Amino acid sequence: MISRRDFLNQQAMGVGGVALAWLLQQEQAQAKPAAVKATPHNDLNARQPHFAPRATAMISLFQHGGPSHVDLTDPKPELTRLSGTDYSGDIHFSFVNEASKKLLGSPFAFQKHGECGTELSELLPHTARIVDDMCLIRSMHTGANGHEVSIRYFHGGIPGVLGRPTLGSWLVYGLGSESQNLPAYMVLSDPGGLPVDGATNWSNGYMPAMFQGTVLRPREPRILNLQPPAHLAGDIQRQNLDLLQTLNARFSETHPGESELEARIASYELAARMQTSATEALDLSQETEATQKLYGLDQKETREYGTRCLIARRLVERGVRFVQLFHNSQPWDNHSSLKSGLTSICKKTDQPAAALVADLKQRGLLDTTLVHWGGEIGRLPVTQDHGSPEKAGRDHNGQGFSIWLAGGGVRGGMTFGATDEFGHRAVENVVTPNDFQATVMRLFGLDYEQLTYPHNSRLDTITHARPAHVVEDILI
Amino acid sequence: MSVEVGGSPVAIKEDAAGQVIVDGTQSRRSLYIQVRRSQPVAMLQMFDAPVMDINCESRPASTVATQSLMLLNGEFVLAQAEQLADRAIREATPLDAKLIAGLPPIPASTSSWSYGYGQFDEGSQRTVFHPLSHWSENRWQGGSSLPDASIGWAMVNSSGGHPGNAAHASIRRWTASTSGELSISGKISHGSPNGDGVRGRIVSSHQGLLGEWQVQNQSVATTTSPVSVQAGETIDLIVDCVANENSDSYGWTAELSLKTADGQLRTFDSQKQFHGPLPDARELPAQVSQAWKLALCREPEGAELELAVSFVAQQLAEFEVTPQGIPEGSTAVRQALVNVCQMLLTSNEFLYVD
Repeated sequence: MISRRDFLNQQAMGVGGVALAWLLQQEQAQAKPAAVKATPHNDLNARQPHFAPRATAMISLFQHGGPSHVDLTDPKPELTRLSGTDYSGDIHFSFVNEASKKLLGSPFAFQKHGECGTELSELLPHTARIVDDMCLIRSMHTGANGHEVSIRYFHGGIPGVLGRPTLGSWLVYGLGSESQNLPAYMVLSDPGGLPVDGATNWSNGYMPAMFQGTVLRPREPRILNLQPPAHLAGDIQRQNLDLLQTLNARFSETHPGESELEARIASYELAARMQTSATEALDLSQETEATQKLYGLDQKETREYGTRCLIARRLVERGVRFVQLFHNSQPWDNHSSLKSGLTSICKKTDQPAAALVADLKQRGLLDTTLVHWGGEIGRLPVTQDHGSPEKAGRDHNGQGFSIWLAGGGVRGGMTFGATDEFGHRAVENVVTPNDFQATVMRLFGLDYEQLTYPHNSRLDTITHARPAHVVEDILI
Repeated sequence: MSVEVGGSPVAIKEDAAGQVIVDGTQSRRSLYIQVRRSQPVAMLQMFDAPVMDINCESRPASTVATQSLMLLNGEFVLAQAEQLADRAIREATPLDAKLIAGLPPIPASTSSWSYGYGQFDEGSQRTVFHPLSHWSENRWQGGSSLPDASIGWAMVNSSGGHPGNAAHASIRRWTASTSGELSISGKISHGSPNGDGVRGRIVSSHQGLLGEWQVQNQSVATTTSPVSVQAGETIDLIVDCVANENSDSYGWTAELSLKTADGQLRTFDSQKQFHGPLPDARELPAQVSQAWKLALCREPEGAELELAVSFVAQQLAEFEVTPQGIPEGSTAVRQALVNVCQMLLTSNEFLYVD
């Protein structure tokens, strides 16, 4: 009886070979135009970008749910003045059945900060201290209000479409990895669970699996399978590996020139190294008390997010290319109880986010590390009425909202773009997620139109030939 | 593998580490695993299963260190290695004698633990030990039925046992393979208000009685001060019934720590290292050969078999020094084979079909 292995081995020259030859003949007979044949690479070797890069690493603090820009980063005196009255224009609602046109002024006060005088609300006292390093974009626009629609637009380049590689995948595909001891693209998820849209947020899409984000679990084991089970620790695993590598070396001798075999042999050595290097990278006890305090590790509210921000800094220090942090259960999605909800999520994230920028700066890493803070949408200037003022909330708003960037070649101490007087629609210097992606690529020295990957018989890019431009005004 | 076609999908779940795995053990093809967009199965995703949201016209094959970590340390692969080893043991056929003669020698399989019955002799302060000859389910006993016609209820299991009558105490024996300083800590417990309880003693073949405890319906710590032991010295944990053996099931777990002259600390856990009859290490070459046939569909070449047998010999020597290299419920001989099987399953030849 023939084993499956033998059967498959024979097919290379047997029945399968005949079928293939026939298919190729058919193709030629129909004289189809030659398919696009770029040969994509399937490794993480460090590569040179198209031009001199400013940023070599990126930390993205993704704020799932849609932070309310009119309460945080975009003061609207007209909104405050006319609060309680009905909005006279058209509102692009998400939850139409709860639609109200009554304007809700921000219960939070705004102030100018730093030398640049950027206005932020009282909910962001720590972020206020880094405004001179920050570029605040107030004119983001997705055109869609739904969470997933806009999340996929931000990560993958097309609103709502699944199965696309994310920005992180494109970056590590284009640039490879500096570190030979850690994954190039890492995701730090929330202890509470996965973010909305799950693994799509760090998907490799149609690219090979090696370009997907490696999730760093919020609890032990931080990297899956990083530690061997107790009975394999130490010399025993070393002996096992030596046996394995000897078997593999013999196999390679009978199959010369197969790069995949060589790559796999190398990957075992890297895996063995990762067991120590990843553990070292995650060891926060090495940080000084001052640093731990800066990130808020000494306080209950900021400890969790602060820990992740600090780990993110350690990872980019050790050559990780792209690190992204996520929340679970969309804490910024304040459809109700805006006042308390927003206060609470700001308490959790404001200090660590600001600490990250300050810490990178003081270590001389901010010039080459791009920090991004923002969600997929913002919120409406009108209220979602749930009775009392304390319970009032805001519905989704993808027509105009804020994100901020710092470091990595972005000009600090500036604001860019503007929304209308009520904070509903972006009206000046509109920036779409495609523009954001093009700009991030440029900061990394990449031309977003020239970084391609073959898919569906075309050479695809992150923006998928949609209209996009690099936002030159925010680059140093 | 189950060749059942169709039917409901195989369920998935998140394990303790948050990794998405198949729920329970099952042997259907991975084709039938439930696909949830936001919960891709970790093993499949690691090895380039396509993202199921769009058409995939060509699956890429990547090679990354995280795959290697999964192959080296992942529970699924380790479990499969054990299954392969057990199957190789069951199906192994004897090898040609000439072939075996040419292979590197394998040390006989030994254990620091043995199990028997006997008595404590008050006069000499030493035990008289006879091995319990019969292994049944999960315990050592005197004969095929319990109580045995001559030895009675005496039996030893992983966490304790039962003494026979006053002339047939149950004994768990530890033998020092090298000299050093030995400390013992443990706990003996008796759980019934009936009967008159049991008496546990720790007796050294060279130094006599090291400790004695009597328990009835309670637990007591059994600790001894450190003593110097020599190679070959035996330490018996002997339990007798006092006057009568009614209701005399007892628990006695102990940890022996041996500090050798060169500063190494070896620990011996009576429960974790409990074992049944030891497999014969001389059967390993045939088992290794069978593992090759099962995994790679061919016999191992001469040089490969030599390599694997040297590896096994090396592992057995290593387990002497590092007994924690043997997971609970396994033996040194079996674990060496499991490790060979794991390396076969992670080898390039297995992963890549020409």
